[in-house]
Amino acid sequence: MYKFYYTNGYGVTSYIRKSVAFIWKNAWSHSIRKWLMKINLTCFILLIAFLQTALAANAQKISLSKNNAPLTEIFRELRKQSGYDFIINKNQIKMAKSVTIMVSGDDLINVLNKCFEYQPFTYVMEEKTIVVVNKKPEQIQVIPSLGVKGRLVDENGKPLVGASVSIKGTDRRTLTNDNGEFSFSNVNEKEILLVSFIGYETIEVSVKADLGTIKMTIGAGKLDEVAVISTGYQQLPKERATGSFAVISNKVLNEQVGTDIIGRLEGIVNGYSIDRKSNGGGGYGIIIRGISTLRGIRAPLIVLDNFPYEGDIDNINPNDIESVTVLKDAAAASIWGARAGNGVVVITSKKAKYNSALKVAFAGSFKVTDKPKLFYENKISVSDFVQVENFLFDKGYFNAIETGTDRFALSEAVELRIAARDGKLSASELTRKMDLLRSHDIRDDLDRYIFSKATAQQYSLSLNGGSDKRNWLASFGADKNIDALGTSFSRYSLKADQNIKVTDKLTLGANLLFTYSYSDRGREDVSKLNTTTGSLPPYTRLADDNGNPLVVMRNYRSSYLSTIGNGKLLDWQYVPLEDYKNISGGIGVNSVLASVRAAYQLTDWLKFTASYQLQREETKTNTNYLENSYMVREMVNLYSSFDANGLLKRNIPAGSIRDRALSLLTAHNGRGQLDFNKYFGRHSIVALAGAELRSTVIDGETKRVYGVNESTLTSGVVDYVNPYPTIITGNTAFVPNGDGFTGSVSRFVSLFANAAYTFDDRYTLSLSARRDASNLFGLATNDKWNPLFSSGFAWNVSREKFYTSTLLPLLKLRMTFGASGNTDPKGSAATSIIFSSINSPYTQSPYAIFNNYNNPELKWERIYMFNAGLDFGFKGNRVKGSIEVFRKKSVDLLALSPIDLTAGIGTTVVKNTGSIQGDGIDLEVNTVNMAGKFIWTTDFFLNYYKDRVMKNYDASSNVRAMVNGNITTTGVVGYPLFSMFSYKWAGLDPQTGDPQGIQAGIVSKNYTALFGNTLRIEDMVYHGPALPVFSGALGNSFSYGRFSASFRLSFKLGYYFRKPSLSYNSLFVGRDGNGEFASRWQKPGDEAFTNVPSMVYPASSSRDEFYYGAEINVLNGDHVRMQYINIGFDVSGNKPGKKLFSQAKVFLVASNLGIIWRANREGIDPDFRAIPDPKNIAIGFRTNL
Amino acid sequence: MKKIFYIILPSLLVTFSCKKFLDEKSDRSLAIAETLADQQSLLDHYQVLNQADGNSAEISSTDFYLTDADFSARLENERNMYTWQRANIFLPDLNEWGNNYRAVYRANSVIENLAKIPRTAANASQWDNVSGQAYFYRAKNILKSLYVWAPAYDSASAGTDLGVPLRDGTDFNVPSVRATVAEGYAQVLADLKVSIRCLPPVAVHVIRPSKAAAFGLLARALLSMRRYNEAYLYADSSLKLKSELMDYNTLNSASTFPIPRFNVEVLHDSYFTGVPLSNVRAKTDPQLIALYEPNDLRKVIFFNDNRNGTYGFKGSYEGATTFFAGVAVDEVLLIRAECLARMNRLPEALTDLNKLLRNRYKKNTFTERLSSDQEVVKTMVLTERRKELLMRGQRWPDVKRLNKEGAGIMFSRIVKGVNYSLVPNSSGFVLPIPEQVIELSGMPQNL
Repeated sequence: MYKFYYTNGYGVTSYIRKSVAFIWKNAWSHSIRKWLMKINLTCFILLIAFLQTALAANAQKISLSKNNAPLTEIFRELRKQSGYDFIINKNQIKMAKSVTIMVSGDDLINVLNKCFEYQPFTYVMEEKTIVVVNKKPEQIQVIPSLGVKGRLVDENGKPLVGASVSIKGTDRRTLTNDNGEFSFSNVNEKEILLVSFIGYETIEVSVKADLGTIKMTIGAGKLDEVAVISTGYQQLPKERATGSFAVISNKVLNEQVGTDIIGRLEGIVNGYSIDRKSNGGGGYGIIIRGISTLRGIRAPLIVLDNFPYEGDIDNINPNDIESVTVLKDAAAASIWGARAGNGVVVITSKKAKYNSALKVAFAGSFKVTDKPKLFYENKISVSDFVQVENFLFDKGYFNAIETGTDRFALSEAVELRIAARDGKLSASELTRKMDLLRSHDIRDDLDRYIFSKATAQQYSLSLNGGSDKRNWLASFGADKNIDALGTSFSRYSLKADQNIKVTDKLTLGANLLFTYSYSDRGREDVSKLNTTTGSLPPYTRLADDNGNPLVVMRNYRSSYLSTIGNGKLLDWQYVPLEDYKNISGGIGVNSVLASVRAAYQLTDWLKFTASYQLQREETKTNTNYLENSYMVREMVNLYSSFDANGLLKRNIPAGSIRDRALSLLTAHNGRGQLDFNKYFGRHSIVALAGAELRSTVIDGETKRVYGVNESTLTSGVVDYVNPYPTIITGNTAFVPNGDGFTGSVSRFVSLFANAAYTFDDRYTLSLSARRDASNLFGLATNDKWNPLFSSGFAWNVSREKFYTSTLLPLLKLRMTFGASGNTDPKGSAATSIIFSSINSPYTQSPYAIFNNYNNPELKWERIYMFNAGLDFGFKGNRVKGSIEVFRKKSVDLLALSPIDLTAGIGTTVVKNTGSIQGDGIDLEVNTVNMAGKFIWTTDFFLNYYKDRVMKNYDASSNVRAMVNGNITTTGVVGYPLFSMFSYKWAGLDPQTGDPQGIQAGIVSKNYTALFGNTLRIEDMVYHGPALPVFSGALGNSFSYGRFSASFRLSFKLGYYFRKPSLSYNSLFVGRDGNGEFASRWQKPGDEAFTNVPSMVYPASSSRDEFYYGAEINVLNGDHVRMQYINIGFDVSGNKPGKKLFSQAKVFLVASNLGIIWRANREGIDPDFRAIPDPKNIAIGFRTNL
Repeated sequence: MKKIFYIILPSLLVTFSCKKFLDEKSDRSLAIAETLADQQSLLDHYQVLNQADGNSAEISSTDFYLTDADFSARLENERNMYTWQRANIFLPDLNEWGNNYRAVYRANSVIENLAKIPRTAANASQWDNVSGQAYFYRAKNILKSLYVWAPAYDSASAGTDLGVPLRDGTDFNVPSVRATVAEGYAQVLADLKVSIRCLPPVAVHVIRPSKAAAFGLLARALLSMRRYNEAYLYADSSLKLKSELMDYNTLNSASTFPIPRFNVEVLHDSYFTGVPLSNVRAKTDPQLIALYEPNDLRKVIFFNDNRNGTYGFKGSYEGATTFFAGVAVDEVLLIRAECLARMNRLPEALTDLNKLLRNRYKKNTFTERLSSDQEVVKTMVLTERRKELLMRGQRWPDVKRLNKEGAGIMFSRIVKGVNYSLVPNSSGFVLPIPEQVIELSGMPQNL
């Protein structure tokens, strides 16, 4: 045996290769492969293999000029250039013929083929090794039938899963597996295979034992078709799906730039919207096909790589994401069971592929976001505000505050009036100083000193490669954002993924995702500051004309603070532009997601997969109020006292106050699953069944330390047990104790099964069932099981023999019905108590509050959904799309029913009383408007959803609550769940400017009666739903040569919102005034052109409340928004297949471009509570794998 | 196929042996209140049981007044309550009614849970103590509600007068129905008698009820029922356990709050928040101020001279801006004195009165009160009662009770030139029940 070649420079690898060569003669094939696999496993664990393989597979462009050279010399040269190793034995070397070759920049394969053209032997490629093998005598002639295998890939080399391969003229057919592979046994050598896959040209292939890799080409007009749906449990060919899915490809995801993935989906995913206003129940406000719960969690289940993702979604680097699938109907979601009632978002990260050369992808982007538009909100003008303060001063409103022992802060204007009243300020000085106040708007200072343009940088690097036995992927991401307040956020993520075919039957895989993020503290947005007497007055100056920071009012009157404590207290002034520098700290999140999986092919139709995932997310919040921060100075001063001798005693020591909060989430997920995949002639069954265990533990801890000396790191001691007098009022108070612990455990056990039977590719019948059990507190285990089911049917009309339409070559009908569940984890069927984390300071014993009141009738919420869909494709796939209609019925909804206070458990109680029915239509149309050199495609979707409360408590008695708040669950039977109601309006009283309503047909100013107990829903104005009935988006993409551009419009129609309005009570008490003040009623006759009530003193909160809820303040929310514009230029060469990057693109993205049409004339963005997200522009570079 | 069984079998086993896995508590700070200690922890929730007494009785009384400016600056419902309006005087949700019944629910929970905990020799004293506390709180909160939402007890009409609902269990599906005044007081008396039997003479802290406090509260209830003989007995029992008084000469009248919290006189601590009543806003009725003699230390210890002819109240037993509403020795002593006077045991009545006043007057300036005229002694005691117990929520039930006896005390206020008044024994002395309660329960409103 000739040991040809070979040094690699990497010890480990070199050793392997030498050993391989040494034992080659006896046992290449099985045992060596096995052994190699073991080594590879080790390599994987060490993550060394990435580097090694990366180098080995590199540089395949060969240039060679040899005349009559020995083959061994050629091999040596090729190894140098390609990194491939060669194995040849002594006999073969003897037989080898010398070679003459002249190539320049050619592919290795071509070169090899030329070299072996006249040799008595041939070669095979084993991983990155070329093995010379003797030519076998041609046997095809003598063997009448043979086993056939092959693999289907798309134009990018990605495996095509679920493609149909049949033997022409027979009933025999099969589908490709997850890796695109197929096989037949006993095939006549003369047969022809028919390979077809939706969206691709059907091809015919002559039978051969190993057909190798067959590349399919896209059918005319086929662009961006997603053919495989990932449910998190299985990969499902779209043509056989019965349920409702929306799949977002990587290309569409990449049309936007941003730190998080969730924000990119709105306006892209059919049937998915974000509600930024009510946002009850958290979950980023995602709504999939309407809201199906009254008070439970509204968020859909988020699944990342087959397991529910428990951590912070913002930790997922969007560059790692390959695709997102949204499961919308019951059949799609029921496989996820109890938590799928609100839909499921399945996020699939990029995966390595077998048989792929090394690919490197790099992406980088830089985004700049405008400052928030502070003048967007209609606020009372400074001059009007000063007028209001003067008015209040004259009415004596400030007397109680001025003389109060609380010594609460008074605004500058009021202090000036006090000084003038007390003769300390002349009338002319007062006028001058008041005028000075009027000349300044705090928003100018906020814009200049507090807010800046936000920036976001994002980089990612990804490498992957794979042989036929092993594949791997490694990626690294880095983000650095600085927001408008100067808070910086950085995130680093590292991902490694590898799969190994240990034997033909056993595949092992492992995945590791590590993320670290940290955000520090920025400047304080003082416009949100709450002093003891409301927000800062609008004339507040943060800095003088030279930009020097100024003292600003805060909690106590400055005239009092300057006298208290005879100068022995710490300085008590607040300088916002300095103070934030004295607060440090931030939030660090450390997250690890690790999973392993093993798949074992038990028979050719049955596979067992076991997988396990560990998620650990540690969030550390640190806030360090340094000694000079206002917070520390105020705390220390408040708890200071003077003894009889006038000596200062500090009950809170001077020094920093450090607050720490720690939260640790640990989630274990385990799953065992059997996959059944069998074809019997024209019948096929795809089924799975399995069991799952999940446990999520969250531990929390908060801690406060007083009196930290930053230079010596010593800490002070405070007494939490005894109350101390506070210095201003003399009231005693306990030193605030910030120590506490929390701990929660949620556990789920689930059994699931799912089967789809397909006949002749025409009819598919699917069934799925699932039972979940959880440890929700207080339930007996037997009651915890919650069975869920779904069934579905699909009919591929276009595959029928009678169907001959050439105009509409694709026509498929789908129908599903099923139930999914939902539960409020806080709900339970036992009276439970929860202990306060701090003992009672009086008895030093633990004390408890009621957490939940016994209600044995509580059960899970249930959501039934019927979905019918029609998929269609016109000739040449120029126009294709789908239309789906669905009906969703949510029953046994946990609803807050009002309860009389006398019961002693508050104002409401949770009962399974609600029921909602919603109907919807999802329409999606994709068109190729122009194909050829200039490509123009359009995608459009439209969602219609309208629900109606079928059953609820009699909400009509509490109509007042429905008018309060921005968007509230009104829950009135017969109306949408979120309805916009208002009070009837009868204009302003021409004599007084008071708002007037109508009660029992009569104009009234009795406000408590107007919205009081006697008011009925029939007395109110119903405008329409408060959430959009129609929503959708229109996207257009253009490409010409290397240029591409896309833009996307989204719209929301058919809903109403309540605009912000003037409340005199908030204006007087909280200094929060609406700009409507300028157009208020002031004299008889004004009522002809204004609806803003007159200013009265004292303010009447019921008068304000009535005006706020009146019909005139409800506006139509319809609008069209420019979502984003993306312009790209491909900078990679244009020789496909000959570059490291399949694509390299520079792009420019502008997003949040705002509303381009709206129904309301006030210029309000109905989607946002306050100032809308400012627009941003990003430039970037991206290479694709 | 064998292989498959090897895989399925263990998976099934895992699934079915998961009972234990699912029995883990979902939140570690959660518990089902099962143990005696759990019951005590429910009763130690001071924010609900000790610091949520209502202030409507005090706002509706006239020991204080607001200037027109301060009145205007108050919330609408407070303005309505202050001027004895018949609607919108309580906030819709967390109001006094809700707070009282929240406490009742808590007491009922403990009483129900105790029924499931066997009383053994080992836990008897703790068991009794917890039980006594629960009955004490139920009685206290029903009594407070009766003072506000029911007419004064009148043995002639109590059997038909509408009182307040009496919740005796935790089932919130049971509708709330107003019981009669007689039934209400009967339950208060019965509950207090149980608690007296169970409670220890003195609690570990005055934040928890004790036997002395329960005796005192029972005396208060009986006094307001005008069952003076019994009130005397229970006041006497209370004083036998604890009768120490503070000598006001030892207090520093210059302090912001001269009277310390949890002082020796406190039998059971609770307070109501008094936003409109704060010592800055609420000006003490000048006629009341005039009742204090120059040597009466209460004049400087109770009141803050605003130096503009008005006085604020700083004499709370809470040592803070909050107002004491608990049971204290001075009140019990005054109950005994009044009952004795009414029982014509005048020397004993005067002994009690003089004992109190000696501790309230400047050292060596107090001259003992003497009289052998029952009416004079009774008036002396009632006057001192008014001067001693102000801003404790007692004036309102006192006036209701005394008017039943023909005292003819009329409340009136002038706000922005408008005169508002409450005629003795009028329905205005019974506050309207919060509108939401009427709406949801359908119970009859006070007209």
